[in-house]
Amino acid sequence: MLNRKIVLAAAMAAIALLSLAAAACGSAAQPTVPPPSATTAPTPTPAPTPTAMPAAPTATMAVAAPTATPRPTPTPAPTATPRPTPTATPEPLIYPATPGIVDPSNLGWPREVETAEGVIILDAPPQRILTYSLGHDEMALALVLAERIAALGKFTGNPSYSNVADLAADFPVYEKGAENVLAENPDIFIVSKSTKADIVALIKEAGIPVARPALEDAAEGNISQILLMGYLLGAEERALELAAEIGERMDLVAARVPPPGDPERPAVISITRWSDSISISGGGTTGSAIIEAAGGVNAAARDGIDGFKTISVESILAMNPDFILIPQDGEGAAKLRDDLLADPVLATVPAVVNAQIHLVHPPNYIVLSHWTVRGVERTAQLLYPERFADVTFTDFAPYDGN
Amino acid sequence: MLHTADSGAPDLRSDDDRPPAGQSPGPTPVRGKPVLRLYWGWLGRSPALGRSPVLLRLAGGALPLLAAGAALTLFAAAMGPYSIPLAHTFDILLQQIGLGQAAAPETEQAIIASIRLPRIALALTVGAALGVAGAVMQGLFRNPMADPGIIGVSTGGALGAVAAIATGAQAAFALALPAMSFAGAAGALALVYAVASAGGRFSMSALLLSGVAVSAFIAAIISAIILFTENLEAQRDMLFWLAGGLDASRWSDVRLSLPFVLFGVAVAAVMARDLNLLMVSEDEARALGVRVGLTRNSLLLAASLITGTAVAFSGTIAFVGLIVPHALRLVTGADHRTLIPLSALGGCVFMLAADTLARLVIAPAEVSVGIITALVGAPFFLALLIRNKARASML
Repeated sequence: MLNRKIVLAAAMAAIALLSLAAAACGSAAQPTVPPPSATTAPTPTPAPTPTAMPAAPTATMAVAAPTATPRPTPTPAPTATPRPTPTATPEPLIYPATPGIVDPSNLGWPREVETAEGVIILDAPPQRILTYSLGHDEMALALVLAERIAALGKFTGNPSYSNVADLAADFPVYEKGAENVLAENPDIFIVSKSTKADIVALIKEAGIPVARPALEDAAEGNISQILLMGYLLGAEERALELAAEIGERMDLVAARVPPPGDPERPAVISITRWSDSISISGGGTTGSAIIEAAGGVNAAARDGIDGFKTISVESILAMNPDFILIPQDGEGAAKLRDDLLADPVLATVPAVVNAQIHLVHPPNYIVLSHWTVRGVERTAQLLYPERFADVTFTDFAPYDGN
Repeated sequence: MLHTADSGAPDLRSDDDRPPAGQSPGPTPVRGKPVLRLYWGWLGRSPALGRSPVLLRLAGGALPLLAAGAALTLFAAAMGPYSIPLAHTFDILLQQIGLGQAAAPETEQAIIASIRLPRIALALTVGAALGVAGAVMQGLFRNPMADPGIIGVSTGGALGAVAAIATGAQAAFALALPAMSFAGAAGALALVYAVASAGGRFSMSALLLSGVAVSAFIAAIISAIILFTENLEAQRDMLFWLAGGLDASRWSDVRLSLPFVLFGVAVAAVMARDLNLLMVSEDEARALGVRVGLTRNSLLLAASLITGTAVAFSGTIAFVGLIVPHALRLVTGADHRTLIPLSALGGCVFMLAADTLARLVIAPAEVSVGIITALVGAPFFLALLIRNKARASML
């Protein structure tokens, strides 16, 4: 009975939306109402009683402590991508308390998630996921099967920006804009903290639940946001697995580099140049977090620079870095490196003297997702090649259901 | 000697543009701050300056500006993220002008010679250009709120630069960006002028209105180019260029821009007397022998030339052309024979001060010089509006 009512309501809403679309002569795509698996709630509601444990009968990982960022014990293995060994005996899944998850003990459906857009109640795992940011796209691809992702943003397919550009080639691409979002008929819409409020309002008005997990400028790949996304998308086990992998990768690096405060840590800066203006990653940026996690000292943050700032060549001399990272693509990056190496002002800078100016893969350093861990690994290898000579780091694998 | 009421500076209505005998309101009592009265009195005692009020006003305005410019140049050369002792700075500066041999380390010499001095020189060049362009535009439009960008020249220059980046011309040819930026500025001027002259009759108000419309049109094209550029590296280049600034100044920029600016300033200075007459009315100017069309067009071209040059090498930097001539007009009067050269000097000083502040305020990082000029310029502009409004209500 309830289903019939919902279907009826959905049909009426679809007719209304189609009428509106026709009247506006807009996109050829036909927006339809979201499936009845999700509803929005403007205010927090009491958590429903869990009705079922996760469907997967073979839990691959049991996390003992309900902490927000589970960190497995560091492994001495020289490989960078050790996968958790599946246990023979299924154990009950315990999900860590994570900001945004109203009741982590509720691993059934419906479930509630609270983000900056308020509380949403999901009646079933979303099957047409749409995100409005590259970082969330990358996370979604790591957490759920491709068939559950409705479409990807344009930047996700651009190798200059995206860590998963090769995967994105197989997905439909959607353009930004509320109408295009509705045309994809998502049952969950995930936005970043920079997504415009009016876009979000329009999507909400169409009845689609919107979540705004706040990705942070962190080196550890936003573990808490991965756990939140995993819960939101009904991919808890995979989220735990990914979080564990991140922890292992980070621990591997941390075990091999000098601890924070150690004078052995080299001074590092991360710069780009656009239209002759040099920008540097100061404190609070992803680049800074990556440098610190990789065993370096961000000389810009050390000298009082916060955020992304413009500097002159003279400032590079004043910072006297041992390493210069250039997370930039294209001819401009190579030219910047050549210009720095040839600049007489920088002739005494250790990074120039020792030719330690490196072009690094920009997406690892700019996208707020678990791929920042690859930035940490790459940077650590550049700073301490001898300590990682026996390690072969590999990229994160997309989720394939296994 | 006549003096302006506010500053004590000699009145602009002297020499040959003073109203005919019988119409003069007579000598104005010397008023203003005692220090200024003392200053002008001291200058007036000079036999050479005392005979020519124009020279007196020019010298009176130029002396403090030159002193401030020299002090600022020294300060800007000495200060920066990399600490250089003042004595070394002196040595290096003297060496740069061919006096002596600096014993300072090579790194310090390279910093001052290759980074700080070209930036100072370009700041002075761009400041002079914008100051003079502002003075000319305000005179031509008889409006103290006029700005060098008022007829679309700045946005035209920006369009040329953005096109140079979008087409890849900038990467292929080092001079492509300034050249195309300048071409954009000239193209915008030509378009605006053609609209204002349509039907065979030129009108300054039509020039102003078409300038506003063309500016908006060009701004839309710039937005479209940025939005639809597939090359994201180029897209970023465009956005950073549009932000403006002098952080990557080189001697080659100075060598390329300085001749254009000097030429434009010279044209404006030579035509300053005719501009004074044009300000009264075109008919009176014509009656006094001024070739109105030639003068107006030459001044428009000169102002556009130097504005386009400034935009090509520094991006769009607002408010310099607005506040420098206006501030100087308050002090030394509205005679363009003094206002134009003083606006050049004032623009130099203002721009160098703003850029030095931009370099040092959050060192070792920098802020865009446009932020500094806007932070100073916007309140000044608002104060100007309020003051004008108050005066209007009193009349």
